[in-house]
Amino acid sequence: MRHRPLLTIGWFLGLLCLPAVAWLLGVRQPDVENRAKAAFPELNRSSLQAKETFAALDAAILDRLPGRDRAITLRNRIAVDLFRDSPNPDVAIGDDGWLYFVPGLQSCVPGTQPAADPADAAEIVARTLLASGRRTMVIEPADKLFTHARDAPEIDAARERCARHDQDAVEARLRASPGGVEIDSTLRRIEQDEGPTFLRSDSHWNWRGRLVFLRRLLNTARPGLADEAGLHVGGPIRQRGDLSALQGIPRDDDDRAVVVRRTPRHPLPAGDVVVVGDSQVERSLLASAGVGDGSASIRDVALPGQEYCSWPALQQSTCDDLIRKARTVIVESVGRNLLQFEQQCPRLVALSIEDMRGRPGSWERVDGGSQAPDAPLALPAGGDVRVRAVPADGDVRATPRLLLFPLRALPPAPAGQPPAKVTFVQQPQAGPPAPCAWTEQAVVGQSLALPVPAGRRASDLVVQLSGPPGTVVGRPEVVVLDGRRAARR
Amino acid sequence: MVFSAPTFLFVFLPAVLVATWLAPTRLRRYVILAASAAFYFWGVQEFLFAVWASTLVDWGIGLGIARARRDGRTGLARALLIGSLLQNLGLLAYYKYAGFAADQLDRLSTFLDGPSHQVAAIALPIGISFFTFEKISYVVDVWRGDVEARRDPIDVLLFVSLFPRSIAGPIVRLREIQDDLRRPTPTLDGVSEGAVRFAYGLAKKVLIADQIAAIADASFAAAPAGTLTTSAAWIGALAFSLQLYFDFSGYSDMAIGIGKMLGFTLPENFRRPYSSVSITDFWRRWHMTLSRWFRDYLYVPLGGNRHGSAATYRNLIIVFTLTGLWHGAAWTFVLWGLYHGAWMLVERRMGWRDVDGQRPHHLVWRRAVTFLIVLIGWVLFRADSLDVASSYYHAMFVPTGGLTPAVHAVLSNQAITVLALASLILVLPAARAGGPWLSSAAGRVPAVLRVAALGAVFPLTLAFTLSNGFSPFLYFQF
Repeated sequence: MRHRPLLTIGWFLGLLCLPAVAWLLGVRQPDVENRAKAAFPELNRSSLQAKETFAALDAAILDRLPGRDRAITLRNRIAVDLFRDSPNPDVAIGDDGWLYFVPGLQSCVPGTQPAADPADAAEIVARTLLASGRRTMVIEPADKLFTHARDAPEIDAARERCARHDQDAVEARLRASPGGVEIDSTLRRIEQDEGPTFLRSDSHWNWRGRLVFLRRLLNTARPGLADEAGLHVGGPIRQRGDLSALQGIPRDDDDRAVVVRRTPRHPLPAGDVVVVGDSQVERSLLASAGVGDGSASIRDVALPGQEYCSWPALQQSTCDDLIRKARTVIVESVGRNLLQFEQQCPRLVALSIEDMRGRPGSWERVDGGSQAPDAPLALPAGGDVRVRAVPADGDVRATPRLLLFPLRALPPAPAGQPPAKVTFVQQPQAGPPAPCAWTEQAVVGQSLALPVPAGRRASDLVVQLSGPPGTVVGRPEVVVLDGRRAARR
Repeated sequence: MVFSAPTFLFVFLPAVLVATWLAPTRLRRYVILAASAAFYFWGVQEFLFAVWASTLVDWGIGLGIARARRDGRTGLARALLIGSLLQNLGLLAYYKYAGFAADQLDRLSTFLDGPSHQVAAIALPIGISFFTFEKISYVVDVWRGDVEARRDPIDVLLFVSLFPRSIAGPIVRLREIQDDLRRPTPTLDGVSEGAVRFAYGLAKKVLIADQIAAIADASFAAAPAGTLTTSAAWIGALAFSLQLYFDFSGYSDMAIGIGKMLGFTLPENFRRPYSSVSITDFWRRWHMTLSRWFRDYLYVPLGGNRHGSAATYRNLIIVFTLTGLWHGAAWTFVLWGLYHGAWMLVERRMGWRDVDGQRPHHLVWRRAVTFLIVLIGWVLFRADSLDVASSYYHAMFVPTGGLTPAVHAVLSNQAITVLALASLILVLPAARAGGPWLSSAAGRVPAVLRVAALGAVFPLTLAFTLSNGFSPFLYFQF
């Protein structure tokens, strides 16, 4: 049977050559990891002496081998269908094929936990934006784990309890706070009465969730705008699940479009509204409006000329002018990203306080130095002072406050050095640090800001101010965040 | 490049196989040499030239020894031999052991309140331990007259560089493949057997060893943190024992398979070692080419067992200490070698080692005990340091309840299933090693298994290698 060895060899070699042959025939491997393919390294005499060149070659070849996506799907299907394992530790498999994003609990994982109280952070941002004279909606919608919980597996009971507690606290605070919005109780009621508000294989809302969110968003931009634009549920669509893609087993979920019918007769002035958000906003507001050829988004039709700003863009300060110009700022951050919110909310506070002023208080040195009660603070030769601000309206209030530290004088930096600035570091004497503090300033006339959450003692919030000798920081000014517009300079 | 890497499987190997088969017979060895150079260069870049330079020195020394012996100049021949040994061991010592030695001297100096001297780390070229031993074996074999000195330097270059075994063995003797070096002649049956053998080895590595690696990694990572429980320690030790066997023996299967496909017959390296009935038996089944190297080039020249018990024990301890050190420049490896050496001594002393040809008593019990001894020893082999080994042994032998969370996290259903299936190796008959039986045994059962291996398991294995490293982001990374 001479053909048997030939069959064996042919089969063996054929399988090994299959990807290369497919590539030669024009088959190209799609991107499967939500990133661009690894680039081929430059090959020259010196690069060929570096180990990294060959590692880069391996990575580039692997990314381009045809069939890799199918191999990934096959392997992961075996894990899921045969072994009931999730091939990705970030995706948990619940009942009936429901997928959940495990980092939904990241707010309770050491290293990704916020330092300050997340409920305080949410409230401070909402009230500060109102104090700047803007309309606002601050919303931190719950992760799927806490909205469509009935099909969720147990991931980590202790962390779930912790994350649920944080989420409940944030929701309660936003519900009670002017400028705060909470839709999760509505979504949970819909879950009970009508059906899921999330997609099965995805971390985002389905049409029910998006409809609730968009209605609140549009009506915040202008009361009644949702009806004016004809917001409604459209026809069936299919959504590729991001969680199933994380597993390497792409799956589409049945969904319905949420669309608008028309542009409002009197659209808002361009730039009047800025929406700061993440993929929930992108999936909702930047999805097809269902009007005309379908290429225009809901934002383009119902909110023409209005801006969207992602959290990374906020962090890179590319949205600053948009926010300054806007009269309505909508802030959305999914509940699991409490740390990200904490890290980036200072930017929102900084942009809001630019022309604010408050009632002057006084400084108190806690480092043994002397300070006249009603005098500005001059940084000494060493450049550092430890102080607490004494607000004019008392140590504790039931309403959150902002303590502004206006910069009065800042000596220029020597030639060749980076620009001078004044900064502070919180050294709370009790409790966690205050959230959303704006801790640096380089512009004379502008302020640093230290929020004081409701019920916190201002005297506990000691700070260490640092700056070049000769820096003068004016008397701390207290702005009460009572939902009304603050005084301006 | 490793054999399970997509670049090797889907680019390098098919290209080399086709080029070799299509090349005229007289040119085939050059094709394989060029492929071997490319393979090694991919891994170590310009160190390839140092290896070749050293190899050419040995080639020259081989010729010199042969000529000196022909001329009756035994002293010169011996001097050349010593020169070669110094050259090879010097290279090995520099790249592999200089850092370790410098560390120990530094510690001693610090202990004696002397100055501290930190030495920059030297990158260790992969495979250096293997090809160093092969070069030594060539020169010593020439000295002993066991093989003729090669006039053609290509023979020696190809012998040392042959890519199927250049980085992880088997350790070959030139006389075993000298005809193949001259005219590698792959046959239809040989290529077919080689393909099956390669597929079998790849499956052992990818579908078994790689799937249980995480268990061992999690256990050994937990040991220094003090969070390793007793159950996790034993599970981790078992996982490592199986991972090591399936990885290493799988690699040897692949090497032998590629060799066959290119026209070389490489020696077997494993023979069901976890079915051993004694530690003595274990070393006749585990990494056999290394054991025989140490036997033929160290143990026997030291006197072997020909000069009484005391000398035998001394020789065994020397051999096993160096065996441990050969595996890695760390005290854990030295202790591991000594551990096995000590057991060899105990077996000799107590008469527990079986003699070839005699069926041992209490087979099941002896296999279980031998495996347990080997498993305990693997902890030293795997631990990063003596402290880690100590913590690990503490966890193993001082009972603590529960299961380490990090180990629990990696005990997926798939990993547990693979661990259980891999453990079946412990109860399979000792007489028959899987690789050779599968690839060349006659009969319906091996034929059906060959079809299954190539038809179903091989494509699945390739899919697993192609999908390795899948690590997607939730949101697109711009």
